[in-house]
Amino acid sequence: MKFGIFYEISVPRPWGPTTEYEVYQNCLEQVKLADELGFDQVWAVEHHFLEEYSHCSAPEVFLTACAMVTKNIRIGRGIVVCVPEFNNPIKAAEVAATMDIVSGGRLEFGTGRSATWTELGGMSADPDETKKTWDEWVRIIPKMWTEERFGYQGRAFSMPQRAVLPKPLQKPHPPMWVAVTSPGTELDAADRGMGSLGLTFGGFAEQEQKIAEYRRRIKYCNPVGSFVNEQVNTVNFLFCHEDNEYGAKTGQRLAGTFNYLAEQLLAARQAYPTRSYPNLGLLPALRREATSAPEGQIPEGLCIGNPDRIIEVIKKWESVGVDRINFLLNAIETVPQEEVLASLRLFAKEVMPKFAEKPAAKAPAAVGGN
Amino acid sequence: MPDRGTLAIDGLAPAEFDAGPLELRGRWLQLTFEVDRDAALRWLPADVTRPIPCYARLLVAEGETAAGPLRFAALGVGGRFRMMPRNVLAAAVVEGAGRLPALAGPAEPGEVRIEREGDDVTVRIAGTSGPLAEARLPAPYAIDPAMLRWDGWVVYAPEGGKTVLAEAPVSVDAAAARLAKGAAMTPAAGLDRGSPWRQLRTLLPISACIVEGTLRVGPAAVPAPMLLG
Repeated sequence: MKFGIFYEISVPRPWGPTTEYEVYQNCLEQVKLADELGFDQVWAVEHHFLEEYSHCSAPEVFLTACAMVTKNIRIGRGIVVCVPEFNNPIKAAEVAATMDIVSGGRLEFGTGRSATWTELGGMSADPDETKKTWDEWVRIIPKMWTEERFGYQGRAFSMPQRAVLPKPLQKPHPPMWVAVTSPGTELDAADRGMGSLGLTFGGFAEQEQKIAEYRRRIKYCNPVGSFVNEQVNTVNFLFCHEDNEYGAKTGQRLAGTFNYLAEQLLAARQAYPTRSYPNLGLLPALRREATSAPEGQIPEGLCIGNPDRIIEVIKKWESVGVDRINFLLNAIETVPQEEVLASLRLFAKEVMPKFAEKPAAKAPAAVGGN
Repeated sequence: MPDRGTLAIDGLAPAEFDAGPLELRGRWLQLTFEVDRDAALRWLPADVTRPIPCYARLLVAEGETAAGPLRFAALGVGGRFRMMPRNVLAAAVVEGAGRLPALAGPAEPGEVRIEREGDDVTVRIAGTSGPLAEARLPAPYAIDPAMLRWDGWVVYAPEGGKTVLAEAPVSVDAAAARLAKGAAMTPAAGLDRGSPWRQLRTLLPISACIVEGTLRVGPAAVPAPMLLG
């Protein structure tokens, strides 16, 4: 089991002249500490227009700053929105390769397609097209990294033969992931030999079934990259405190605030009927999570409370097949920065050692490439 | 935290509130479109937060009910009530029946027409003082009705001498459905600046559908108190 931290970078109102600056500085301080404490990875989302919920529209910049203040922690682009109204596949490949170089080969490359009308509508993207463009991009980006010169004639993207430069430091290329918010997307990840970057919080039984099917399918995959990245990454909330009651109460406040903010967004499926978004994705999962436990009890899968409770929860996640857990540490600064840092320290001291002797997350299995 | 509505609701409940349910066999349209943030907040009560972006929903129906033929148009603002997506009723026009069950907030008598014009479908809505709005659904195409979702409505109900929020769930049995992209609601020229039909005009179309089958709205009920974090 490996542990990471995960950023939406939510910024509370009222927005003063330095509010965003202060939140970003807090995040960088947390990342620096997490690196010193032995956390394995830091992920940052790409979101646009999501007031308060996420002010992280240029994660490549934030993550580069993270790389510059850390030594070992891997930096997760979570995710590149593979939709032409948001990004360009050549530029995405170039930026990722540059991040990999300047970080000393620490990039994890997440892909996705956005799940909110807030963003898709704001970028004038057609929700009917996003899955097709995502599928095309994840097949060509690794080729841009590994082929000396690359040319392509596709459905949504074409380019004449050019050398896409620079090339990533990691050979053959950084591990590739798919953001999984909708049921079934984990199978898309498996079929393409990509890691499952789970962004839902569902209970153990639900996740166990999905992970088992992912593991089964990926055995027969046709990898889009040069190797199969069979790993299951999931997201959770973290607030670790010696006092279980205080830890749980604070953690639930954190989770409740995050979920409340998420509810204000407009899911693509909610407003725009399309087979491309067959369900509501993250939002109902968050709603279920917020209300899944009886009054006064902690939802079963959340990593909040004292170290003993969190160890038990992580053991269960481990038993259902999760390789990595990434933690959301705050939401609109609900938890004071000093308490966030103390929570990280306590987790690293009391919880991480319990999992240190376990087998590490599976190394990417090379299946060819250069 | 998210913006809350600013609408004062005292006095908005109709004197004779009919909680419904409304059951209509026929056809109906639902348009979803982005609207101005300030206008949305003006038509949302304080217990409802605004989504990002703000949107409105126009539900227009014609068909048979137990009380006879009915046509109506209901204009609502998208909001989050008790953390759930809901359409908050801002205005309604009813034709052919004395009242509009479940959605009987600020309903006024008028005319509602759904007409086919070439490949398009057009809706015209008029109140007692004249035309209110028009909507055009360009070239709708057939889809699986299961792709559509129906949020409940929030309406104003009297309770103990006060006005409170009530929820009216929506359910459908759809025999056929069509979807249109780029559908917009346009207010009639010369409407009063304070009219919801003018304030909640389309800024950006999202989607629109036309459905044949049975539409059920309500009964409206006042939910139990809920503590939110």
